Amino acid sequence: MDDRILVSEAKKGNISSFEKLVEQYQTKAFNLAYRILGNSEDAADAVQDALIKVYKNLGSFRESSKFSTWLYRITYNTCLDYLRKNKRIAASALDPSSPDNGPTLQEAAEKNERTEKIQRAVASLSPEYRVAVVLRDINGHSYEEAALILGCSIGTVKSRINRGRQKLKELLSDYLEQNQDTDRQNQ
Amino acid sequence: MKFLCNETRENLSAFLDGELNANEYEIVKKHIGECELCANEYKALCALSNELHALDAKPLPSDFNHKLHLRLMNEKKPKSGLFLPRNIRAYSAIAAGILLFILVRSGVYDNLNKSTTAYIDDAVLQYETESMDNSESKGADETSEGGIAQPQPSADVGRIANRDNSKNITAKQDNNTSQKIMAGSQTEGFEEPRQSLPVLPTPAPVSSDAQAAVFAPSENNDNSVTPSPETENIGENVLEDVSVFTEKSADSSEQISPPEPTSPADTAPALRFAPPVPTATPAPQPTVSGGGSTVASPPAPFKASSHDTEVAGFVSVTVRVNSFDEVASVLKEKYNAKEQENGVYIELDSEKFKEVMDFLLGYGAIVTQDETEEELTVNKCVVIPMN
Repeated sequence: MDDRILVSEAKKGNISSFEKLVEQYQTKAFNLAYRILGNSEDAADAVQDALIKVYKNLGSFRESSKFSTWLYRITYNTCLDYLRKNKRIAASALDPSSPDNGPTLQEAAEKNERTEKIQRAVASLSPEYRVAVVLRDINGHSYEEAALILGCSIGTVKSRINRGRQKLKELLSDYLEQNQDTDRQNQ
Repeated sequence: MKFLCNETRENLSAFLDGELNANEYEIVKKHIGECELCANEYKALCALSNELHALDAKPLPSDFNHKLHLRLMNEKKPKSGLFLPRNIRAYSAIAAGILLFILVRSGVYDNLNKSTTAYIDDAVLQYETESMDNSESKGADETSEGGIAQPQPSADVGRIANRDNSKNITAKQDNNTSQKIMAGSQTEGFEEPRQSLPVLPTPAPVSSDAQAAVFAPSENNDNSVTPSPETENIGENVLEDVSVFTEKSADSSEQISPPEPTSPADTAPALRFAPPVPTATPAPQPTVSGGGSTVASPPAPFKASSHDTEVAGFVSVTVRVNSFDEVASVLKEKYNAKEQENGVYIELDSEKFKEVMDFLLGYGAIVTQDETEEELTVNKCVVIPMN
């Protein structure tokens, strides 16, 4: 169903319309929060808080903008509030070696080495680059959307994505070269 | 070639994402066709991007939807009211712009240029406009009437009246007040409260029509000034308040009816700021006049008349604002404000002072003039949080 219809139903207090509306976006919102906060538990709490804020303030949502972008922006800001208010989260979010920052040991064992290395590398980026890369490469947003979500200019997004990727490329250089060789051999 | 390589590297990510304009796109495309290093760089970037895209999204915790549902059930229906986003600064700037536009339209701005203190006076007035309309307190009435009854009120009465007003500035936060005004139930317009201001010590009969206009209509102020409870969410009312001003001042531009207008062009500005008449004035200084007042702590709201401006030149004010952190960071960045125990402190020349006041107005600024004995050589401004 069209977002606009769901939004207008939800504005009247129809909870199931609201749930239907946000269901499409909550996984991406959660992944964004997870990359910022560094652990699933806080990420889930932050997204819950963000969704409640979204619900409460639906009345003021201007339908000229995209609902999803608005939702992600509120999620992003809620996560920043979490970081500001909670030093424990901030510390773990900034520490790439903290256990929940990448996949857990068990998860890592289940996944192949490939995924684990990339997850670790992403987690080791500084938060501003990490968020920009996640928005673009994992959540698939355009630069314009990313700029709206982060509340910065498109130029800033462009430069953060570029720097973030450069850094990742350095971190993963051995691995990427190895992959390219394998690809060539396969061809 | 080196320059092109650097430029290309900067744009390579955006090239990959299809986020370059046609011109930039062609430059990068041409360059990577010619430069092997950059071409390799591009390939590596593509490989990385593919890897990242292949990452699985982390699934939501299994109880997520259930928890959300429970929380939603406990929520009220979405508010339909005004929502102020985080970047309230932008909105405040717009609001201040609108306010300025109105002032210019209604002819006040000419006077603002003459006197910075008068400018602040007007800012305070904005708040008083609403607090007055909403008030019914008798105690305050007496004060106010005291001022009216005596054509040449004593300095003390002036001070007390001022202090009452300073409390009542907060009345602007009362939603009921705003609504009343919006509904147009009050006939007093934008001008009205100003007429109660100048219970400041007045120089002996300066018999200009302008001054008569300032004092005479204060009879209308019978139901003035009730301290109204302070509310916390001042910031959330900012836009609403501005819209109130917009409507009110638009109306009031026609309601100004000075007792004996000499000519329309003269009277409107005169109503707002009685022109300084230094010769007829034995220069009474409200700021240093007797301290027998029983009214306690909050300093008198800053409403120096234009006399003060002429005499003092510079002022020392305390400004209370909403969103203090945000305001402070801007002031520190742009005006080199210094941290103080309870706020930030800035010294400003007249031009900058006006600019800063303009900015602060957007944050529901409540301006009070500090009493100081020292001779000021610059405008001093302390900005502190609202509460």
